[in-house]
Amino acid sequence: MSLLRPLLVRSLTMVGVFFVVLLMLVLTLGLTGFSDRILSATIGEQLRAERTALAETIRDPDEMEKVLEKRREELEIFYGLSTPWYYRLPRTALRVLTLDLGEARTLRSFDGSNRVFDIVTERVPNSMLLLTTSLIITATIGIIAGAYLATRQGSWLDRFVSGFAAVSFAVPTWWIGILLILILSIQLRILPSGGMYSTPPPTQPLPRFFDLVAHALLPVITLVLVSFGPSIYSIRTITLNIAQEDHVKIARAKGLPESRVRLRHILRVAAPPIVTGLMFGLAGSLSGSILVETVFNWQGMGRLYYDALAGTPDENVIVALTFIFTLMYVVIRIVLEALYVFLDPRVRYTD
Amino acid sequence: MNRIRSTRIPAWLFKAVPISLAIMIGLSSSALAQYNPPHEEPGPAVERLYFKAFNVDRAPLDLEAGEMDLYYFNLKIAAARELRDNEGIQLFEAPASTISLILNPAPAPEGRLNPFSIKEVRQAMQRLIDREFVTREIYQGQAAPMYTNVASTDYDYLTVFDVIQQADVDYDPEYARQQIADAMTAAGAELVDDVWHFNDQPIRLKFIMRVEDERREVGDLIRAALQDAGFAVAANRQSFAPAIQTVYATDPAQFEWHLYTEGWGRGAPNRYDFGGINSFYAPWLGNMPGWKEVGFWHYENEELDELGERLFKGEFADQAERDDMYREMTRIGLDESVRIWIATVMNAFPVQAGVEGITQDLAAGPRGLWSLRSAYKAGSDELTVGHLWVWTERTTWNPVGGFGDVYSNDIWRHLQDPAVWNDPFTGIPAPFRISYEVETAGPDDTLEVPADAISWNAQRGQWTNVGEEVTATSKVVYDYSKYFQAPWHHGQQISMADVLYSIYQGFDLSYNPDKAKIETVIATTSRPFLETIKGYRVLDENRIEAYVDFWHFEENYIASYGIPSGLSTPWEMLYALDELVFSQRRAAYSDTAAGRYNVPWISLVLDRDARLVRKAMLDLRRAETLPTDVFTLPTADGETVLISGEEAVERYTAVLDWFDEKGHMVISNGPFTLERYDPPAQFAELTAFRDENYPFTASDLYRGLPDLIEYTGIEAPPIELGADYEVTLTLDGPGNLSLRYLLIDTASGEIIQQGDADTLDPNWFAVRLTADTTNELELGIYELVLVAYSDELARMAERRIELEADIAIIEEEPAAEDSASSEAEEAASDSDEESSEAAADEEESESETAAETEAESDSAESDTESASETETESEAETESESAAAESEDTQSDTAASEPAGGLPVNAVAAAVVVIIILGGILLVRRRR
Repeated sequence: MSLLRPLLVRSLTMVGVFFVVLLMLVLTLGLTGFSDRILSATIGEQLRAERTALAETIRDPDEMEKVLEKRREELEIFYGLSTPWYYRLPRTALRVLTLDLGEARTLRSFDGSNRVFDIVTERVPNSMLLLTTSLIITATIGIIAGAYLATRQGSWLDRFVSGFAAVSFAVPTWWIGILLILILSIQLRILPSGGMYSTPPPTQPLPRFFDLVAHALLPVITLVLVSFGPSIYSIRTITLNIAQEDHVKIARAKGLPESRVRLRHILRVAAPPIVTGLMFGLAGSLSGSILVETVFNWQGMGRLYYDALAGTPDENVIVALTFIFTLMYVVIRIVLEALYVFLDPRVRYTD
Repeated sequence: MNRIRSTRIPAWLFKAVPISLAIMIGLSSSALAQYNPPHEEPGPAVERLYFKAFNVDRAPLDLEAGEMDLYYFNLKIAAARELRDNEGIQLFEAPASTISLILNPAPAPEGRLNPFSIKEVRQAMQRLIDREFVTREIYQGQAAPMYTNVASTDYDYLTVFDVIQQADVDYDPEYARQQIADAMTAAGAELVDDVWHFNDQPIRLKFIMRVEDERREVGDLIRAALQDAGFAVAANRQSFAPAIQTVYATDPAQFEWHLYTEGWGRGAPNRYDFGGINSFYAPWLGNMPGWKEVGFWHYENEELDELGERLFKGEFADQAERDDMYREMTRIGLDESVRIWIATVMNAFPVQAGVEGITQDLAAGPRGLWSLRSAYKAGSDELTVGHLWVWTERTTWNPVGGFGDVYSNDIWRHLQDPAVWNDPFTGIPAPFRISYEVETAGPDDTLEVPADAISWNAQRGQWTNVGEEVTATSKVVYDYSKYFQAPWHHGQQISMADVLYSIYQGFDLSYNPDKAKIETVIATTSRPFLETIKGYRVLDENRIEAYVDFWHFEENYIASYGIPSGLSTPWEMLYALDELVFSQRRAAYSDTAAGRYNVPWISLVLDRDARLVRKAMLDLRRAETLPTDVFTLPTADGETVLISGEEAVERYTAVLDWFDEKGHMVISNGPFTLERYDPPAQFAELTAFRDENYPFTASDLYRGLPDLIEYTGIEAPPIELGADYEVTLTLDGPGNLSLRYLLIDTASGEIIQQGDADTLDPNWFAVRLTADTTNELELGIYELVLVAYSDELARMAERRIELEADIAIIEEEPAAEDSASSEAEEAASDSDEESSEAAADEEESESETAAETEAESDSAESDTESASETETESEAETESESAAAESEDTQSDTAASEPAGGLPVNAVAAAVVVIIILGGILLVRRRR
């Protein structure tokens, strides 16, 4: 009983956060004039390009102007610029709240669909294959090695891992990516250097899947290399801190077996911050990585977000993606609130 | 004594750097080898062509790893530089992009001052930019200075090069700063603490600098120059999207920006430009500040608009008048200096060394129409072409509404044959898969259109005779035999029915109100062109006659303008698409109609859309319907029907079979068919179309490298004042060669004489000055600017020679021996000759410094467009040093043969020999 009400309150707070984010997005895009300016610039750029093409066939300047004016009207309707932002953007935001992500204006899915849902569902698995896989590997290594090193504080291995963590954290992902391509692809020719499939790509589903996995190896290795050091170090530090707390000392003083102390009195208590990191990492992995996806020519969510913002600006996709990412954050926060109670016996909610 | 004054690199045009150089590109030995295709079968050289996406930053690594055979996207400067030294890679270059600086000339509000609203300040900007530094240091030799919208590689450079010279826009920061100071002071500004102030407020310029490429460094250079000139500069480094929203989407009078580093892509070579100069100088075409946006302040210039519109509409009687208009626009454009040109950038396209059969299009490089039709790799029947993308989120393959991105076009180009295509070397439209004959009465007269000529009557829904008293400026007879001799990719014969459906579709879409309402954009953009089409006559099963209101002094342009149909898609496909778009309303041709009606912007390459077409095709086959009215032509005897119901059903079946086999609906007539298209894999596979009646083999489609013009000999004695004077030159190059020249007083920059050189024989030319002209010259140095050109090449060869006017020198010249020796040297190597002469000639002008000599040698190299010029970038960078070394070597050689004291060489040598012999004898005696 006592759990339901506080969780409900927190959920409502999260929903509030959700609305605030969307409101801020609408205001940022609309009130600042950013949205209208970018749409106007896109239309202007398109018209300038079309003007050059039309010059090949329309030699009468007056006719050219009439044609371009008509075209401008069409484009303004197409991009939504004919509707003021204070109608257009709130309408888009309210629509996504009903889980209707709408249609992209310029972006499309691989099979040609302009539904944002289709575009996103096509990209998310690609990002998951790289980022979620590497997150799981990193977390597994981090938990096992971190917990182990916490019991070997000051050992040469502990010192080595600490140093390695700093290096691993400092090295840019793209740099490691290029280095690995040079070594494993160009020199040793062990792994494909980039892209998602071979040339020519397999057509049968199973070989095609394995081909995809083979192409994912190098980016996954890259991501694991740059993140497992910090992961081990942070988990080691968390567990080490908890291992020095009184309840652990008491447990040991009671003569409980070390494995039980580690599992029930250290790791369980350390779980909330670790799980928090993991859950947010999981959510983050769904949103992709612009750099890694660019270096390895991978069609994931990171590139989609970049394209929607900077490549071919698409307001509907920007709003939809912001909605999705906020929704993921809110859901994960609520799940975590519930999980804390189960993970840490000391956590109790009060009204 | 005959002697050549070596050429000098004037600051303003650092010797045309070698863009020509650039082309050198492919002057690697393998590329020059004779083309030996792997077979002589119809169709392309290879069996399979793979397109695959590679990130541009990683492309060099992938190339070296053999992941691809060539890269279709231009490399970054640094990557290209690295690959130049790679023996396994051929690097082709093309002047495919340009950069410029747009200034905001809007007047500032009361109490403020916009420096760029003052013409003199804008003009000073021309001289404030060190184009030489930009091209040689920032672009590391992979660019050439540019002064107008015409690059030194464009054919129209011949039209305007003297205008550029007269404008005198060389880099001259001192003069520029003085010009700015005068103008700013006159406008009421004050220089306080080295910063210009107006009304006690510092003048701050908002500079939008693009960051994605070398324009970042160019921007920094300009910013520093502006600061030196006394302006406070707020540098705003931005990428494409934010930059265009600041510059193109805000009113110039709001001053969100004062200057911006623009970049432009360049299309196929166009010998007689009319759109470019309008776009870059004339405000009416909407590419000058204000951008023709309603409510914005607009830059205006009536003179440019008037000239530009006349040029655009073709309102000139002949080429001379057209050239005059072009020159005048250029002059005004330079005078106004709202857009300041900086450089033409050579884009680099790498190709594996083992790949043969590349054609170097002068504008597009190997990325043009030709290369992949004839390219092959020994021992392999496939090629892998890397590109930045194969599929993008905007990809659409739509034969009516167009293609969504350039990457799709690069693949599509190899699946279909155009009727006419610009020649890769001349830039003039030329027959590709049709032939034609042009008859014109233009520009002032008209031809009568025969009463039995037909046009599509959208109201009646049938072909009708145009009737009496219809006239047209020109008539073109098009022969489609080369199309009709072969089938479409799905096996159905190409015929006049395909041509007629294509014509019908264009007219009906524009003039049928029901269709025009749906596809408004296509209708409105097509109508002005269709208004100039006065009628057609089907002459026989292969030929169709078109009457058009269009004239150009180059008849190929008329033929290109009036083509009835590009013939890229079979009629039954177009018919099914029309059904989908207009009858069923389940798809759209244009992006805007698709958005408006919430239907797919149809793309024949995508499974979902192809299935829509398949469904429409099944309906057509089931109902056995066909567009009977389109295929029924009125004749003197009644009417002719071109297609029967059975033939139509056979075609529908062929399309359905094609989809079942390939999974897409891209059917055309080119040398390749589309085998697979895989967006997630960023992959496309093309296979050779080997129909025995396909008209071209790989050899037919190979054009190779352009034969560039070279100066093979120059005889330029000093000018003797008061006497007739002549410089003779020999050229080597394709077609009919000509030579144009300017004689410039280097002291004043004034043009003393200009014109066409006399042709002594097809390759031998003379520039002559009369005694009266030379009599008016002062003693000193004059510059002769030479531009050689050909009717078979859209690129000139520029050369600059310094001439010395000096009576005393002439009189004291020793004789013929030296001169003969010089001539021999000239034949061997211009630069060598020039260096040795410069060093050997004691009477050389004192003002001619060592530095000048270096520059001259350097320039000579660039002008001759020799292979060595473009071999490596490092060579380009160290040209001056090499030239200097060369001069020094020559000088020391000369010194050995003719010591400073003037002792005869032989005497000195004899004395040395005697001393050695005597010394030897003495030594021998002493030992004994």
